[in-house]
Amino acid sequence: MTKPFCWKRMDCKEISCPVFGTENLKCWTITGTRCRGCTQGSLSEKIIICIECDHFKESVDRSSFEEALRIINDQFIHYRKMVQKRDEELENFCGQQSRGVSEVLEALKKIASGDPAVRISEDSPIETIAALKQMVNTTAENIAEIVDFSHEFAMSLAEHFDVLHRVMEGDLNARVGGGSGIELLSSLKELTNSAIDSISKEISTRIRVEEAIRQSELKYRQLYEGSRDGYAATDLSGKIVESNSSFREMLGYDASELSGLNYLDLTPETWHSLEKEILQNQVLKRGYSEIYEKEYRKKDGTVFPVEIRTYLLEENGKPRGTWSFIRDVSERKRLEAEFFQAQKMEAIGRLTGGIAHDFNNLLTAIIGRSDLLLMKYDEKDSFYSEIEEIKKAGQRAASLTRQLLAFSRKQIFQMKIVNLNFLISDMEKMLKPIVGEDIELLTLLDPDLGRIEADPVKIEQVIMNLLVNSRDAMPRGGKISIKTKNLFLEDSFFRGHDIRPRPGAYVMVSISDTGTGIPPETLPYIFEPFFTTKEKEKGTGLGLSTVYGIVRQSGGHIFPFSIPGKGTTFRIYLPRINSAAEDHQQYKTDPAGLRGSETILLVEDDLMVRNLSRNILEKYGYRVLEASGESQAQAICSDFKETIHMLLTDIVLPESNGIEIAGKVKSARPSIKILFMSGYAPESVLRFGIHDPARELIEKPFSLEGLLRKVRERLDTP
Amino acid sequence: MGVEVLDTTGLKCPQPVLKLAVKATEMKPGDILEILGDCPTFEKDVRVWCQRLKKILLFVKTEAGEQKRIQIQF
Repeated sequence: MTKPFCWKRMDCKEISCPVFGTENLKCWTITGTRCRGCTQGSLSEKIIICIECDHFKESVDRSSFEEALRIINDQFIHYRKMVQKRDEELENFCGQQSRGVSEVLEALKKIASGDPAVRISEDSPIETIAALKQMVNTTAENIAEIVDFSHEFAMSLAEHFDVLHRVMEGDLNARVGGGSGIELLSSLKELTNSAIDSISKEISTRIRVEEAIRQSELKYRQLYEGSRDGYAATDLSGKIVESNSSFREMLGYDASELSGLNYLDLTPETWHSLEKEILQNQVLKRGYSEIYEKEYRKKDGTVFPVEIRTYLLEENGKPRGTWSFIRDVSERKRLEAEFFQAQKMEAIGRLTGGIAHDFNNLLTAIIGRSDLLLMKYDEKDSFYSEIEEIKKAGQRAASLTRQLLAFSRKQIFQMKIVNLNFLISDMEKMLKPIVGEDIELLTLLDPDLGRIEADPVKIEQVIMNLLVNSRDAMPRGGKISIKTKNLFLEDSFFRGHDIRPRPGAYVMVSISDTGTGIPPETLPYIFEPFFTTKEKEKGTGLGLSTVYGIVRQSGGHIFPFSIPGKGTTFRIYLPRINSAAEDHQQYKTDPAGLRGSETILLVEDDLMVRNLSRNILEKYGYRVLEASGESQAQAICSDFKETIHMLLTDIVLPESNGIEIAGKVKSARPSIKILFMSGYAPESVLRFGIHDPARELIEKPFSLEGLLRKVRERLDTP
Repeated sequence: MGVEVLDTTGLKCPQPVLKLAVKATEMKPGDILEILGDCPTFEKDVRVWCQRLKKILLFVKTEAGEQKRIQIQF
């Protein structure tokens, strides 16, 4: 019989059990063992051991079998409860696990869709799930950090992109703003802004420089195009490559015509050698020339003078061409010639004036004495005609002297307010017979013509002289036009010298003919006394010099313009005044009223003139008291007890002058009339304080009638 | 002054903002840009972009799903 050693078979480890390791086997069914409650081994295994155990078989009884069944049942119930508990635990576990996984999945889904802000509760009784959820949150945090990082980069990139684009568009004020915790981005911002600052500074500087260059270019262009001086550049062959408008206008070419020309084409040949010499010895040697004069030829062939300075154009140290400043000096040359002419005329005027004055006293004596002699002889007497010839010669000489004085502007003018239209209209009838039938005389008179202040008789003389010259220039007939016009002359008209008239309102009278004209070489001399192109008997050479003198003495100017073969025009400019013209009056003196019986104090140092004057005056009834100077005059004035009606005195006396004598006599005898005699220029007379020479002065040489009329007029005027 | 539309639906942030940055260079002062997007951070990104680049955010309209329509004036 096999002794079943349950503890062996079961590999029991319960060493504290009373039956552990004993040979005295007792069945576990036996009370007192711990086998019934022993949890070691499985029940079914125990049962199989028991079934195979003889001892069990032998010792089993109903009660023990029941005991065994009970034990087995208890065991079963115990196990079933255990299983139920296990099931519940498992179900609970599975539910929690499922929820946890679901939460994790949901969170992962959100993260996957791009929302890393999701967070889930990390609580879970299942350790694995709790760990998983913690891992999900950590992952979300990490991804969120990466996403924030990428957003920060993206935003910063977008802002940099925007700023750089604006800078490129020209907005130099654009700067990257905002701050960033990312060091690379904040450094990039600093770098970008500082780069923009540099670019901005650079561009601002460049803009300023470009603006300055633009302004400079504009100024240069304005100077270049607006300059009155011409500018031209040439290449080394002398071909004109650039020019300004002044240069083109100067020459009469347009830009395209000029660009094909060489500067030598524009220069008369006589200047070529000089040009070459200056180019070689000045321009190519030291880079520029002195200012020199030469001539250019216009498109129409006219040659005109210029002043020029030429500079060398270089490129990389090698001559490339030249550029020049060119000034048209035609006007200056003309003014210089005029100035020279005017100075010459002034000098001649002073000379002739001086001579004429000395002649006056002599002629006064010759003519006066002739008059007195003629009164002594009968007209039938043989002496009478000879004396008359002497007188005529004297008068002709006096006439010449007057013309010389006219030229030297030393005539006495009887100034009046004159309307030249009236004057010319009045003259027209007289002029037509003078010019003859072959010549057409036209007058074109400005109806609104201003007035002038002049001696109408002298102006008539001017017109007459010019008209006669025109007539003589047209032996085969032609046309003479007399025009009048108001003009306001600008300063530019008189630019140049102080000898030119002042700018202002003028009346112009022009006399034009269609005659032979005056050759250019003759034109500068036409106003000179005794210059004539007429045959000896036909002209004195004093006609135009008289015209010149009268016009100048009237404050005016005369300019001749002549084209040989075409005709001549004289333009006379006389200062316009605002007063109304006096009525055109003819002052005729009644010869019958020349006599008188008044007492005249005559003061004259020149014995010839004094005697003559006394003789004339006495002849015509006057009582004459003679004095050679101031002392005698004063003595007479105090000694003579009767009325002295008039003081007739020369102005220039050796010790004193007529003005002073007049003053003293006037204070002693307030009612006395004063009449001065003088052969000096009116300006000298004015200097002495005579304000109205026409009334208070008799010009020497005087004729018998002239003296008597003047004396009578003075005595009769209050 | 026109209204331009920029569709960024389907693009994940920050791609819409990068698209917006490029598109912005074509816009003139006064122009209006309408931008569509469905990325979760789309609205926030556009708001920040407008704030940093000084553009006027006219409105944000939530449409079907996660899609949003935002108008910006330049």
